[in-house]
Parts: sequence; C-alpha cells; structure tokens
Amino acid sequence: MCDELKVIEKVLDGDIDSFGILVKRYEKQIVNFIFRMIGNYQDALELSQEVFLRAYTGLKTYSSEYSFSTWLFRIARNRTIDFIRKRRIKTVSIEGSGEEDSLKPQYETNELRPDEVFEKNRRARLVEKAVARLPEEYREVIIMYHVDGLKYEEISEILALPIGTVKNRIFRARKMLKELLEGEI
Amino acid sequence: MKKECKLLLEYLKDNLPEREKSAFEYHLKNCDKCKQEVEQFKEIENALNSMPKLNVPETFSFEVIASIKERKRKVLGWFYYSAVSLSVLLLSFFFVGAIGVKRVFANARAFAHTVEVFFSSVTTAVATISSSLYNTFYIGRFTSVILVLLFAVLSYGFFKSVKVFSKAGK
Repeated sequence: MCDELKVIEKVLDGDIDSFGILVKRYEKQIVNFIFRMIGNYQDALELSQEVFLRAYTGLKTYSSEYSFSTWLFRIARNRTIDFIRKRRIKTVSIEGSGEEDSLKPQYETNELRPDEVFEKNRRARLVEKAVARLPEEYREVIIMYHVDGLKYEEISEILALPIGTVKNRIFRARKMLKELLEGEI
Repeated sequence: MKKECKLLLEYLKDNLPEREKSAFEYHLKNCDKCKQEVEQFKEIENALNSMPKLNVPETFSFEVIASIKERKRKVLGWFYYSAVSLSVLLLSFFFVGAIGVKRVFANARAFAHTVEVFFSSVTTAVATISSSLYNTFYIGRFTSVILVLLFAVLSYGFFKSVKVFSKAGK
C-alpha cells in the first residue's frame, strides 16, 4: 500500500513508465471483471486499456483515503456499466471462439488428469453460463467476490453500498445460481 | 424446527457474529435440513471459486503505457499548435497596430489588384493561344466534334495511367 503510494507519486511527477507497475499489478483482476461482465474478450481488453488510461488521466484526483484498487475498480465498474447500457446487454454469452487465436481468451492452466480436466471444464462452463444469465447488479458482486477475490468491504466501497446490502446481493445471487444449476453440478 | 434453524438465512448471508456462527456450525451437525441447505450453497460457492481466471497478454501493460504516451504527445501537439496560432494572431494585431489600419487596408487592396491583373493577363494569354491554334488547325465544321473526341480519348488515357501508377505504388 505504502509502496503503491510511492509509485503513484512517481507517476504524478511525470514518470509514465512507473504507471506500468500499477497496470501489471491490477490488469488481471480488471480484465477478468470486465470479461465476465460483458462476455467478449477483445472488447474486455480494449475496455480495460481505456480504464487504465482514465485512471492515468484522473490520477491527480485520486485520494489515498481509499485503496488504489478500490478507486480503479470504481472506474472499471462505471465504464463497464456504461458499455453494457450503450450496447443494451442484459445477459452475456461467454465466448471462447474468436476468429484468430489472439482474440481467444487464454485461461490459467492447472496440472490435472484428463478426466478431471474434462469434469472441471464442464462444471466451469455451466457456472459461467449461469453467472452470465444473472442480472447486472448480482453478476457484478459475484464476479468481484468470487473471481477477483475482493472482500465485502472493498465491494461496498466500490459500489458505494452498505456491507449488509453487498452480503445480501451475494446471497441472492448464489440462490439464483442454485436454482439455475439445480441438478447440473 | 429448532430455534437455531432460524439463523440459517443469516448464516448463509455471512451476517452472524463469530460466536453465533460457531454455535450454528455446531447445530449443523445435528440438523440434516440446515446441513443439506448449507452444503448446497457451499457447492455453489466452490463452483464459483473454481471459475477459470483469464490470462492477460504479456504485452498488455506495454500497450497501455504506449497509448498513454501517444495521447500525451497528441495533447502536447495541440497545445503547441494552439500556442503558435495564438502568437501569430497577437503578432498580426501588433503589426496592424504598428503600421496603422488605413495603411494595412491600402496595401491589401493593392495586393488584390496585382493578383487580379495577373489572372486577367493569364486568361488573355490562354484565349489568344487557343484561338490562334483553332484558326491554324481548322478543318471544317466538324472541328468541334473532333476536338471533343480527342479530349475524351486524352482524358481516358490520363485516368488509366493514374490507375496504373497508383497500383504500382501500392
């Protein structure tokens, strides 16, 4: 955190390359959040780039009373919601088949037996599809909590909602997912 | 229904304080209904936690930094052009003030007159040359038709050659 503030100070002093340290630190969380929200890898990469660009230009307005990740997530969340509203996306379809390899989402790999990989992939696809069908306000909390590993407090700051509401939304989202995935996993 | 069962919803919402949470977890050992409900939710949680994470291309951060630098360069460019334009504008006001408005207008009129004289001389020269050529090569009443056809052929040749050269350039 302290180290992060030093990096931010360096960036504000005109060292653009230091901003790369912050991008490297948060790129995975931001890209994963946006991809799960909109369902298109190429758009997610472009939107993430725009989010970091906005963060750079607005860095002067960043106040250290919040953590940098919370502030960055707030920008990412607002930009993603704008994108979804403009495109009128209600639910998303998680795609994995682009025309070119560079457009295909690249997932983390684990060393598992082939049958375990098959079962894991099957479950993952089902869960991804179900999450994509959740309404926007439930989808975002589930992605922040389970995919990006954010804490209740962080989600509450990003969304400017009381912690109780965040917990309630996560619970309701899980309940919807339980109904959607009944007997499938 | 036991009284602890009423805490199921709050437990699932993760709203219970640590002590009540432990007590409810003890209750789960003896209540199959609550246990089943909790297990189903745990299964969903586990499935969500194991959702695959995307990898980001290695070049992503470099691309972000490159786009920031490009944007900064553009902004600086606009700033530079604006500063130069403003300076030129201010300088011109300064010169107009120094020379005097009447004198500036008189000079501008003189310049416009010179340009007009130049263009009227060019027009006269073109008219003279074309009329003498027309008189020299006059071949009867079909001269105009032949000239139009000749013009069309030359234009076609011109456009064709432009096309060929532009393809060669690509």
